[in-house]
Amino acid sequence: MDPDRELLDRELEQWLAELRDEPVPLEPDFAARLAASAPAARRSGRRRIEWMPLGAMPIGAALAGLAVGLSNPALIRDVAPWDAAADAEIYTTFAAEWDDLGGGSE
Amino acid sequence: MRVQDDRRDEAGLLAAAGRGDRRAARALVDRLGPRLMGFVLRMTGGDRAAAEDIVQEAFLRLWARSGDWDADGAAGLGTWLGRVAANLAIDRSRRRRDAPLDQAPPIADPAPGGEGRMQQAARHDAVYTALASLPERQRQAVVLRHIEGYANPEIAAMMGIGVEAVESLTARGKRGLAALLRPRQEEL
Repeated sequence: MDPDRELLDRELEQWLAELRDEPVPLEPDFAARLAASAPAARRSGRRRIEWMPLGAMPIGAALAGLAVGLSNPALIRDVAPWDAAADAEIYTTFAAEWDDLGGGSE
Repeated sequence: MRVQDDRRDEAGLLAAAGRGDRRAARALVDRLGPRLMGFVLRMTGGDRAAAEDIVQEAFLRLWARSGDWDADGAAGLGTWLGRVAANLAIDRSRRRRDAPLDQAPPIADPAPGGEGRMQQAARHDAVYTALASLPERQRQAVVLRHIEGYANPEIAAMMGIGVEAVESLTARGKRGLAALLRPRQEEL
């Protein structure tokens, strides 16, 4: 390797390492929204699952998934179907808490 | 011991946040959010809206675990958030192959402190801009390997590719960065 290129390689690794841990301040509103979302997200304990309509799923995959789920109840206990009521509660609670913080309507 | 104390401190804040303590939640956001945002901006090539979506989703997942977080577990909160965010950023890039590559992330204003600080800010700006111009997967591999310090097998698992592909992506990414930065090597 030519010396110039070797030098640049060394410098490049050093320059990239300088970026490690470099913080970027959060927008104040965004930071407030993040903090305000904590209690509702904790209460719901939700796990986001994107459910694919059965019709869009290959029949083999659907049957295999059903078989795995039926034979391992513990697997599906941990990934309960998307709960619209829980999500609605998150956003309702969040909106109220956001208003409390003076955030106004979005 | 300091690391362990920080972890317990953060776990205590997380548990309090889960119980509805807004000040604890805000303290965690202030402590962990800026570094996470910096990392995610580097992963997304400076797309601030995408970065905020990813940071928000990572924190939602953290809050959801506030009741059963293991303070003595292997990962600290910051490390855990970083892994979640890295996976979210990679998932996003799989969904959006047409992500814009020409946006440089905003750089915090340099603190006053002389020419050295200004030169460092210029260098960071140049490296960020060069990173943003790399193809997305090369950028992700370079960020995870050379900035965040993950090992190649860990990156391979995150990106869903083989270790050799990671090595190839990081090598090509570094060559691309070198080509972009070589003309400015003296001034940087």
